[in-house]
Amino acid sequence: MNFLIKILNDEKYIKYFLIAPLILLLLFILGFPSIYDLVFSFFKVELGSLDNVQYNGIKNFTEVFNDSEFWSSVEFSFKFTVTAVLLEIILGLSIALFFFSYLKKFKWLISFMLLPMMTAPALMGIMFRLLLNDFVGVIPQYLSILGFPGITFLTREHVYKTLIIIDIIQWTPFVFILVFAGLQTISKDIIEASKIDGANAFQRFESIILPTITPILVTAGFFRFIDTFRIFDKIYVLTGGGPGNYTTSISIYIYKMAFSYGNIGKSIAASLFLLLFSLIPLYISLKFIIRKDLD
Amino acid sequence: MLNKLKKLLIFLITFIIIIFFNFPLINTILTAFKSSSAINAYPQQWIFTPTLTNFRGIFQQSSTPFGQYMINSILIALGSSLLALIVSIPAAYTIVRYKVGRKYFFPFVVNLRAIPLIVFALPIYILYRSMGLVDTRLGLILIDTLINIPLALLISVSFMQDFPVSIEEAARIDGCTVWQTLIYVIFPLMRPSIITVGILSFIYTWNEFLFGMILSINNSTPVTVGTTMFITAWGIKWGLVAAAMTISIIPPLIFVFITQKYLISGLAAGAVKG
Repeated sequence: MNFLIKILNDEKYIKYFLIAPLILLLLFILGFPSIYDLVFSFFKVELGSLDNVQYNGIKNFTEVFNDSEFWSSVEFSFKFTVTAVLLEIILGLSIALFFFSYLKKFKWLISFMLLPMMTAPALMGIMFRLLLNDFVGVIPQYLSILGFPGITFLTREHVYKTLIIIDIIQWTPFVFILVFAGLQTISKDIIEASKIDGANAFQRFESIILPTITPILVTAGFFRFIDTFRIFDKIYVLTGGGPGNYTTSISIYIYKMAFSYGNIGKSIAASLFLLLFSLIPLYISLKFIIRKDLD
Repeated sequence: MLNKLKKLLIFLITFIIIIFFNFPLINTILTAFKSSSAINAYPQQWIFTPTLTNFRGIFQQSSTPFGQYMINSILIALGSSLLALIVSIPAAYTIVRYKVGRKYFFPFVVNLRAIPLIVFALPIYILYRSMGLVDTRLGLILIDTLINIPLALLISVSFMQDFPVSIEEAARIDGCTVWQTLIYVIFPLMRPSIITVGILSFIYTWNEFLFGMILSINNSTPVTVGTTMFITAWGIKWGLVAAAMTISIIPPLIFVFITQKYLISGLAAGAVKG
């Protein structure tokens, strides 16, 4: 016992005791899945008979590679992410700039802007099922009163736009709040001084505001990108990836492959592709975002 | 006069923006208080006699024990926020003071959030199946902790970096062991970041859906998944669904209005540094 206490208090070891729980937990939760993914991407495994595995070579990968549904899900994810994130940045930036001059008076505004992004994405999806429902939904009702009857939002014709708007409603506030918080760090004196020096609104924006918010926009955009790229919950509860596989994102594809079709090997092979894709943003943030904070 | 008009205009725009972004929420809360005839009314009624039938309804269905879902979500969210804090703060201390794992381990952990969770879903399911962790709260606590760790570690490290070493040195000279210094000096000083991490982790876990769906059958079902149980093949009772959602958003709602300061500092830390 004494020996144990001595070791626990030893300066040489204490640093390892402190970090050990985190490492052990990560090994437990991440270790097995990583190994499993790597190994079983080369095997034929079915959800129904998990213990009955057959070596499959690289067949899972070639199957995924030749699956048009996989490529259409990749295309959907990229298109959806780029569109949604760009619109969120433009809209969030505009709203933040609009309120910049009225910061103090509208503090409660921030609470209301935090609400949508703190709502579970899955619940946000269901809330929109209620809003857009053909029979009880408010939006179709009012549109038909306004003279646009029979618009069905989740059909092939409109579903893409609908999902984009839902994502915008939930995540524009994220960009807004970060930019808004960034704008508050600009001192009022600088703005006043520039006014006295005769700078117009555009010059002020270019030389004072823009340099402050550019890094914020980059990081906000980066985080929106990685989060939107793996979108699952919202689409799952709203369309389940349909109609057909029209709104199948990569995450939905991997889920369907494993849990609907039971083709685990193929699902894992697709996950490894997704993992490869996500190494790109990982690398970018390691290189450019984290580093400056560390040294 | 002109000034007053301008003020009114700004107020109006603010109002419209708030309504626009919160419309799904407002509509859901209103629907939750409507009787089923009011829900089916055409056109929508904005003024109606509120009723609590739906709220009573969700707690009375034995096939969908909503009370149980709520207890599950509370325990899972509390458990995984606590666990994330317990493993992250000591690790942050090692990273900051002893400079261990500063170069590769810390950025690696912080950037785990860039990895799509679906990649782990299936292997975790298989691992849990063999360990008997499927459909248990412990299982969900462990996997949700993985989701919370990146932010917890990031906030703890950046907060600890700003501590002057002199406080600890004073404690050590006064005869505290490293452990005592941690418990009596460091932890109390870290209160703001502990609160920030706690709140954000609680909300993230509360809102988690994917693992809640894959890893639970009925014992550990959280509210996000439980709410979808009211959507059945035999039709959707929107009043019940809306009531379930209204109750499910109460915790985030409380945090947003009471602890706004911590939320924003956490979001800013997560986005600006990591």
